[in-house]
Amino acid sequence: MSGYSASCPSCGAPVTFSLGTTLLKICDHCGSAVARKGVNLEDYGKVAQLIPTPSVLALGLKGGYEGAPGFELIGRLQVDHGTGTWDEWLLSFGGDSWAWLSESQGQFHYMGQAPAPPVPAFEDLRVGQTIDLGPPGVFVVTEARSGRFVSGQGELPFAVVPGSELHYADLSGPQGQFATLDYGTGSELETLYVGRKVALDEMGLTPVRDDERLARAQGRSLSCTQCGGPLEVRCPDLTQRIACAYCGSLLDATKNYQVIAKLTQPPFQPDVPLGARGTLFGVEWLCIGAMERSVTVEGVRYPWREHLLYEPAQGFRWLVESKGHWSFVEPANAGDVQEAVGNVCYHDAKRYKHFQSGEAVVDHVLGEFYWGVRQGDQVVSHDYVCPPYMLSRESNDEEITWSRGAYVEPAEVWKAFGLQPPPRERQGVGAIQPWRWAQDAPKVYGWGLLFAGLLLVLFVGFSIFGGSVVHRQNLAVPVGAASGSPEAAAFTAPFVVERPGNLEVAIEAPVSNSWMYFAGALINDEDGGLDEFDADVEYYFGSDSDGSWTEGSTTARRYVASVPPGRYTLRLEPQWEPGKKPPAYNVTVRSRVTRFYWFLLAGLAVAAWPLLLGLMQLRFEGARWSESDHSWSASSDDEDEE
Amino acid sequence: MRRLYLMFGIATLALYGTASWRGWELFAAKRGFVPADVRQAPGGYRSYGFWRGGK
Repeated sequence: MSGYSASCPSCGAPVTFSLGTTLLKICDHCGSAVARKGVNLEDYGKVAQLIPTPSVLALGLKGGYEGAPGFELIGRLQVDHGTGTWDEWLLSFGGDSWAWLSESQGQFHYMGQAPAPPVPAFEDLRVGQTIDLGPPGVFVVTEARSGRFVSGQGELPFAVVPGSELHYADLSGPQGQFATLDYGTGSELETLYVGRKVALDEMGLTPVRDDERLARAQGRSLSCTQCGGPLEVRCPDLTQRIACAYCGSLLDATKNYQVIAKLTQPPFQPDVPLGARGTLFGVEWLCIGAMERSVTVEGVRYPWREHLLYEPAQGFRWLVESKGHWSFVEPANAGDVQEAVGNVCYHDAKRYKHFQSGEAVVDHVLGEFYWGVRQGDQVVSHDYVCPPYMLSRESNDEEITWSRGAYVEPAEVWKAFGLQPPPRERQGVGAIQPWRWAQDAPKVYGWGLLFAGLLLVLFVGFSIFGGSVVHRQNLAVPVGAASGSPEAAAFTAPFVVERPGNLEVAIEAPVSNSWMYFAGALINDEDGGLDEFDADVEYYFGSDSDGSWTEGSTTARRYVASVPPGRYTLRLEPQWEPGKKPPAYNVTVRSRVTRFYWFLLAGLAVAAWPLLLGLMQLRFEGARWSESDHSWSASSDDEDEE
Repeated sequence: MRRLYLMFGIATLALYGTASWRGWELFAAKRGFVPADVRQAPGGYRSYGFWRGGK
């Protein structure tokens, strides 16, 4: 039935359905909605005049998308969801093939029909719930509401009486996909559309030249309908609400700036003035609005300020300030966020931990806004952090939005917008304030472990293979010699130390429940240099009610520092326990031996940095989380209550 | 900071290795001196053989 032509049942003018599947045609002549019922036409009544929207498209425009056959815009649907109107454009690919191009707030979504799996009825839908749409993947419901079919143009693929309530749900899927569940006027799904955000140029579309729109887009100066003060509209294309900078009254930009809420003075002065321009992340932004929002916890109000930034090619962003901490916030695709158990979620390969939740309320607004903002607007917010990023989820009964914020140094904001005086002192640690050493710490911890490991290997290596034995000798106390007498003393045979370094003298005496004491001297046979030392060997053992025990050792080690090369003799003068016979003893002299305290000192040195860094990080993170719902100092009872 | 720590760690390991290899001690010994005439005088310095020390 494509190319079907007939006369308008209302005015008799010719109406043509260019597409076989379109069921409604808005008569170009009288504006009646003409429905196709088999071979008959039915008059559904006149549609309202087109609502002035900032659309840059028009019927008849032609384009092409991803190798598909060329298309033409043959229909336009205007839907009002209560706080604004958006346009849906019907694309005809010829024959029975068609798709939608949704246009809202300067953004476009290409949506094509897809096979619909079983989905919940409209009444059973909840924002935030996930729905498996089959091949396109698992999507999350971001918006579920009703809009009114207010006006249209050309052909539409359904036969609905103008003014009807249309039920729909928008879903966000993986890799930036979008989907719409179209319930029509009922509660059961009629059509599933799946698509993604597109740019006009990739659709092969060129914005139409609309002189009136261009005039509006260039900005205009008006007067506040409440106080008469000059009202500069910087983003007239997209602005829906504007709050007067002089009296603070909130005006409806879509309805001739009529007053929505009266005030007598602006509620606050934003840090970034309205109209200020600044370059952040390589883009020059224009500050067009500001609002103060807050959450109240246990009677304490915690406010923060949000500055709305605009750039025609990028759209809108937020510059958020809280306690002197700043973040740059952009929208995030809900379908790309995976919420997991344990108060964590994942986005863009990052793991975010839940920080805090609350009921965020709009307290004050100033300047322009692209949605129908009102004082007192309330959403449930959940913030997740992965410094320097924050993922925020805001939802009400009808809508859920995700955004991602990145911490910005206050000085950077001040420099970007040329602000004076200098920024306020930051209070505490910000929720996503990056720790000063966040980049360095993991490397330092890793290297610390590596150094400790290498140190241990070196220590074991030197202990086993280090040092060289320069002399070994067995000595005995002469028979009849008295303990500590010169007669009991013994000299070792001379030995040569070839390299400078320390000497270890190890005396092994097999004492049994007894002791031996040695007054020792290392004598340089060549120059008479003398190093004196003493050594105790004592070893006891036995058993008691706790079992057997031992104490002491049969070997004593003493070290002589910085022994120069030369020929040496060791003199040992032993003493022993009265009444006991002194055993023969063994002396071993080693040159250049490693000392445990070097290992200890080196270990402490390489561990000190990571340990100190760890303590600093612990202190910093403790301060950060003290402001969250999961304060480290909170008692387990508090946690249970949560 | 990480580069500084890397250098510090390498230097510390190098220092430890050198101290262990060369047999360094943290504190120097108090070295005495036995003059040659004392060493050679009867009753002063006694040789290994005199004291019958070795087996």
